[in-house]
Amino acid sequence: MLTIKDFSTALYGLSKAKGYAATVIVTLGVTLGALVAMFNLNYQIIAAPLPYQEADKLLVGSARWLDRNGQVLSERTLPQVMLQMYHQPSTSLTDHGLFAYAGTYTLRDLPDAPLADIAYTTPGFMRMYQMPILQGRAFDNTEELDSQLAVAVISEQFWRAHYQADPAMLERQIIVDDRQFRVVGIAGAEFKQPDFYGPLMGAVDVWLPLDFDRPLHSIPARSGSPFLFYLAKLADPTQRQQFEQEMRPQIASRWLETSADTPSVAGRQVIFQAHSLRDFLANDDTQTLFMLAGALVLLLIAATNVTNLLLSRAVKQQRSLCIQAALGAQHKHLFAQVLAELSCLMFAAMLLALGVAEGVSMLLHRYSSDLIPLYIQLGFGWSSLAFAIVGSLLLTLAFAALISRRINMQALQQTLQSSGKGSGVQVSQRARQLLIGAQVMFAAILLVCSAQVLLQSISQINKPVGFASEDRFQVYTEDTTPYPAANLSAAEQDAIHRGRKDQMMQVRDLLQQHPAIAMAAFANGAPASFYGPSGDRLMVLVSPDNPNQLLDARITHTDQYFMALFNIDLLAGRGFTAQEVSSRAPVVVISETLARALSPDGQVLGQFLHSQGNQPPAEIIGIAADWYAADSELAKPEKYRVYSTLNPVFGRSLLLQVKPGQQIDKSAINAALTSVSPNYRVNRIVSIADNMTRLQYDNYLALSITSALVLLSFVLAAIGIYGVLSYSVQLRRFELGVRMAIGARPATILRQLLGENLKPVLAGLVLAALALAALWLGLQHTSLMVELSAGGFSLPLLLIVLLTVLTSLLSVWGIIRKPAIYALQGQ
Amino acid sequence: MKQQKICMQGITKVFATDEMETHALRGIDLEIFAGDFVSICGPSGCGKSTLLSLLGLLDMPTQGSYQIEGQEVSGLSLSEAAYIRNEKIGFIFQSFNLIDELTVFDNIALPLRYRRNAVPKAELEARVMACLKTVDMTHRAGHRPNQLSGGQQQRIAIARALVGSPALLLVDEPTGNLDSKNGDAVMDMLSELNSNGTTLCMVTHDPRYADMASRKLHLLDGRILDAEGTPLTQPETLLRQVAGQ
Repeated sequence: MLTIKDFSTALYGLSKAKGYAATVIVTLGVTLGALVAMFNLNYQIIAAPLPYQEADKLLVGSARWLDRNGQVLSERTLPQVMLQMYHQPSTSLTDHGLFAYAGTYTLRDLPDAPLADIAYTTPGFMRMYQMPILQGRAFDNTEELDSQLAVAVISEQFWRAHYQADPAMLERQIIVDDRQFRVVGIAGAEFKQPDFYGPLMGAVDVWLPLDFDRPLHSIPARSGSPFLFYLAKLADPTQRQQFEQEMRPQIASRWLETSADTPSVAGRQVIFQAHSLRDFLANDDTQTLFMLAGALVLLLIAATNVTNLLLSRAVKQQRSLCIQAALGAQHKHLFAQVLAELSCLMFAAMLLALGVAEGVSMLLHRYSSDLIPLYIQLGFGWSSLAFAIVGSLLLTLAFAALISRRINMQALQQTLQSSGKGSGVQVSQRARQLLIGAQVMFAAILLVCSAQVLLQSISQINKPVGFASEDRFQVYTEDTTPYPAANLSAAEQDAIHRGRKDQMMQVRDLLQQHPAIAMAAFANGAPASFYGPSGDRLMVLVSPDNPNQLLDARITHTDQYFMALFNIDLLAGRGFTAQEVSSRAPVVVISETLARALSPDGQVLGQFLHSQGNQPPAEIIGIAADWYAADSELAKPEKYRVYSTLNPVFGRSLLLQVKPGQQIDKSAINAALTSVSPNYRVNRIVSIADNMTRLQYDNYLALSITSALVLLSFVLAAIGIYGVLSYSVQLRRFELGVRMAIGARPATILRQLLGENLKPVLAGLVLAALALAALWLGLQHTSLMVELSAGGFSLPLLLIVLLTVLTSLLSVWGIIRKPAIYALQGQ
Repeated sequence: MKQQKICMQGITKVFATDEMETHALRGIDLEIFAGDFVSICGPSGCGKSTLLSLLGLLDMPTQGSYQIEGQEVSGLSLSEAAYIRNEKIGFIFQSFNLIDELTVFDNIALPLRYRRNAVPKAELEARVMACLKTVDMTHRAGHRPNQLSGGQQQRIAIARALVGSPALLLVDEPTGNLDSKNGDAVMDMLSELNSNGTTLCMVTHDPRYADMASRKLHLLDGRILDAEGTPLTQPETLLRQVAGQ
């Protein structure tokens, strides 16, 4: 049983070994803190209770779309036919609803026209997710789908920020898009909006009835939307798969009915999926699990290092242990002493770990918000505390057990019998070399792996993207022109789109005259779009005779300025003329890779590009250089690109190149827009350079994490190798003293130690190289992309050799810089 | 006239900690000549081991002059001291201090391997074997220290001390860890070495063995006593101490 005296003695002892205590506390505190933070993150995602009642009964419906070859076209894209089936819910449900993200809109009822994140939904969503209401009410059954009642619920934050907490907010009219909505409720700030689309589109300011989601209702019934979700509550949570099996054929057959008259989609399959809410929100938790595993490995390495330090200290304490043994201390007494000291160290390390965990959580929250579901709360919690306490206790007991096994009572007695001048407890040279070799091997593996990822991230970040992004901006425009009636013919609809395109080109020409703007263009997207692939999907036929050989490409509807504005090189042929853009001539420019995919020699100028659907063939007039944006969405179709002069239907954007040092002026753009049509205005202006940074987020995150890991592993390796060498030198202090006594010079001792140490170090490096080779071969069978770099392999190994030299010097410095008598006397 | 091997004048040694200073040696004057067998006796804490450490250059004096064969060694660097130790001093410790991982042969060869100028292999082997023969341990050359008895280990330690042909052999309680039979054997061996011209300086508690020396020095409170028990201090040492205060 530990007493206060044990602790006070331990604290006094540690106060005399501040460097040792600080090293142990910092090493374990930092790594345990990282593990606690990763545990908390994973716990919150995988196991923590969701903030909704009966969350186990909640599910989210979406669908996977396959092409005729069984290839996945898209995931989590709910078919439009779900709207038709909405009013016949399954009997296994107790409630259901729909939810759709609409993006950012301007609220026109306020003079400052603030932007608001809009979602369209049905009353079931508010019921199932227990939306707390501060004032008024949630949507009720009278506002169900197809009721066409223009009502709204706004968030408390938005109400306070933009309506100054107006007490008369209820029944007030707000204007979204071109419509007025009557506010019926204010949602309490404590409501945690489930981020069905992921953290990118998490927060919602205004909820409107789904009937008013006009883009959603305007797309054909055979299509689907990744922003639309079917929400349901099961009577029995075990019935999820049964419900999925019930719905799957119904949706598939309904979709087949609606798409029967569209040959271009023939053969596609729509597979309905009912996910539990947690699975849906957690989505792919592999990344966070990897982070947890990484933190665990780091802690284990730190624990190994600390073990060496503890052993080294135990050796240093041998004299004190000898005296206590002489006075009758038994093994348990010495164990209690070790345990008391370890408890003090681990308590301090645990406090530091909680601080580090809190810091890591704050950093994750701030810089990884695109990675972490919004509904979870990172930071200090009871689970983190319990985990930290249990982790610390386990480490304390493990360390204490390990050290106490090193307390060899018989050896202590022998040491005493030789008047303290004997050789005491010795660890064989083989055991010492094994320790050094193992330490080096672990450190080398960790360093090389971290360095490879680090260099890969740097390479990705520095990789040329093939287009200019500095001083380039995308201006999202808003059009409040009343929507055309649904029963218009295709030609009438096309005429409307053409009219809009003409108007936007007028705006573009006006902006070209602005003194701050170097160039302006118009398109349905920019090269770097954060919310998914740039441009619309176009299935290109490799041969017009073979409808089954398709290339998944992206098409940009644009003008003659687009490529010049982004410095996209034209490799062959020519770009569009103003006349072609104006007349929507059937001509296209295609990317280099697409050209080679169509014809191995890439000579496709003058040929016609055929695509699936109703698009007429278009003559290929130019071949443009490839470009890519480093996001995963763009990875697959990254270089199959088509530029056309057709009318964009969605995503009409102005693209601007601002002169260096000039600022973009929103009011000037608005002036140009309203001079052409009073229905146009700027929604938001996005910097393409900023978008590129966001697209590179994964690489920047990997860069940050691996930089920290490289630094941490290097520090740990230094501590670890030093710990082993120091331990080894402590054991050999007397022996080295003898060598010095018979004439060995300090340089001789150092050279001898280096020679001895480098052998196990080199053996450890060889073992690490073998393990890394095995790891690399293993990764060849996985989907992980690994690019090996010679520098990333050799530099860490060289660093470890250098580290060994320095730590050898450091570990023996205390002995060789003093007269031999000190070593002989064990001082 | 006998050659002077060791000359210490006014040697003091002070061990200082944060809280106190301990004067282990207070103005030691000592001469040892070639062929001398000096024993140093005294109660615990009188400074015997400290004096032996200074004689062996294992530690440096706080004050005073120390010459070995006429060479001033009191201010040498650690590296220079190591060379002198290697070439001119041989050590025999109470607890033998053999290196467990080396064979008997390698333990004895160790001082030669630390020589400033490398000793040729053939010469090294010859000298080691000669020393082994001197201590009658030739048959144990390939053994490890832990395979030997205490007496045998001390004989190996003597051989190691002799292999470098030192000017002075420093012996620290050579029989402390041995039974009387082995102790006597070791002392006989040391006497024989002395009679063959080896200069010895030995610290011992045992009056029997101290009496075997040609000169006996008594230490008390860091000072050498004369036959009447009066501290022996040279006048110039006294002057230096006064000046130092």
